Amino acid sequence: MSTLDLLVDGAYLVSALLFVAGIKKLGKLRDAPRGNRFLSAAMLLAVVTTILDLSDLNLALVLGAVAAGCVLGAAVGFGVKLKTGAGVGLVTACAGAASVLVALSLGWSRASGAEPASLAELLTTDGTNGNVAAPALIAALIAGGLAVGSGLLAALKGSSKGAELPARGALWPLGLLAAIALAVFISYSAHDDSTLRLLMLVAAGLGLGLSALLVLPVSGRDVNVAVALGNVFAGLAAGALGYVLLNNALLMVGGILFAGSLTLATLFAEGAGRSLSQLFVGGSSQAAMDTGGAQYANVRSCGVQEAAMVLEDAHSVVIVPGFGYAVAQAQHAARELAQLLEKRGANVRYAVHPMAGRMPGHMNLLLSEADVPYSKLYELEQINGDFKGTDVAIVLGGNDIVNPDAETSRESAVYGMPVLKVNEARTVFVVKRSLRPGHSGARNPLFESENTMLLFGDAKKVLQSVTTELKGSSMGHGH
Amino acid sequence: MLGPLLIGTYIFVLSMFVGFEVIGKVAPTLHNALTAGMSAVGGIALLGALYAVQRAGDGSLDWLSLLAIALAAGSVVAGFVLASRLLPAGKKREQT
Repeated sequence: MSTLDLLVDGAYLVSALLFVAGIKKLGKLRDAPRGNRFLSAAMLLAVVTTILDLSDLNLALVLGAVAAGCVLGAAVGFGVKLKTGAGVGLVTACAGAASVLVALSLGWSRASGAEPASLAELLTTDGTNGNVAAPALIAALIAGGLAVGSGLLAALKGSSKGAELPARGALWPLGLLAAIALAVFISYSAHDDSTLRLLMLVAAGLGLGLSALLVLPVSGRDVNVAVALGNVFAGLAAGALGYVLLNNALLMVGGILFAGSLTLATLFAEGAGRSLSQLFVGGSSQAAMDTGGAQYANVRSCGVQEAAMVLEDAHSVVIVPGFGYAVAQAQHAARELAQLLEKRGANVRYAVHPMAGRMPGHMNLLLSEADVPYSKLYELEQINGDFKGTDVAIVLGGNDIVNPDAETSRESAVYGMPVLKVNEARTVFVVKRSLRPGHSGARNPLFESENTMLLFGDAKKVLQSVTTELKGSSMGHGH
Repeated sequence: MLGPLLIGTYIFVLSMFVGFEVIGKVAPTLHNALTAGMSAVGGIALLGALYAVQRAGDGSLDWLSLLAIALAAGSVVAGFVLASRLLPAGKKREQT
């Protein structure tokens, strides 16, 4: 191994470490901006290393293509609307398309006999590498096709419903069999150029077809699952290219992306109350049924750990005691959490709705029982203008008192009732035992809102575990 | 002595374990930003595209790999820009 090889692989290793650190940080609120910078630096290092390693590149052409891509990418990145989520799907599709084109280009140049000394060694069927390199090329094409299809479909989905595909159950195994057959055939039988080219195109098409099977039944509300799955295949495609080219950076980053995105997709699916397989079969969530959530299709729930992560970084928190607060006798648990948050520097207030609880003044009674200072209690009119600047609103078992339909929807049973505008806070945690309707029986769109997370459980127990979690994490950070 | 492909398998499999471990607890408000960041990482195919340009030499199919370079570079830039816009801090700035 020459010194140059050592330097290149050393730089690749540093880059891979930066990728890992970046992904890790991007999941933590306080570190997230730095995480993004780490990832950018990792990518830059990997690309510059490769350009320096491949000394005989036509630099003018390569840099021109890079520059063109960067300009287009920046235009898309800054131009798209964030709400729709179309941009991220497009990014995945482009990454997958790049893998497909690379695989086609490598295969084509092999087929047309360019540079036989290097490529023949990699892609012959009887060499030591050949038995893996040719199937790896096919794998890159199939996975790349899947990434393109998943990304594009996710980008186009918008808020549409999942389509029903009756024959999916039978088509999936057939598609997988076809993929394996292709890989086996190409490593043992495909010797002439035209067959090889045809098989490569078939592989890319197969990937696209499979992606339709995979993503079409996913509804628009689960679009981030579809994007994450696209990334799974983008990672697989990059790893497969790493095999073909024996490039360690592609292998490492491909592997990390593949497994990381798979974990992320599972996480998203679970947050939506489904398992990954349920999402694609299209069955409705049993959990949602059990908790009376039949009239809610798009709720996202999270665990106390995730809730604690968000609270850890919140500067202003508003606690909204509701019926569940009274039932669970959660006043002391809420008070304890509020004190802990205040100790960490957050401004914690209580928003008291006059009609919360069983009787007028019910909340004030419970709050004074927990010795919550009077200065922290706010009436509806006093606090409603402040939710816009609030980081986190925690609704404890309230329903009608925080129903945004009361202001906007004439059809709603609660229309005209004064409500707390918690939906204007950046993040809303709704602690509830179930999604059963409140006193009025009205549907509450707050539960389906983009910035709402449901924490299922008894208010007192949930608050206690969030407090425990926050205490644990502050010890972990050495405060 | 390990062949290069066996080493490659080691690297890929071990990297997968790192990938499974690295996504642990993720703050729910960061789900979208993290997805965008991961999409940008998919642009690592840019390395493959650079190899492809070199392998193709002066062949007439250079444009395939050049297009791959542009697409991969574009996805990297767009992905990271979107990730930073999707961060809670970035969203706050855009709203005001």
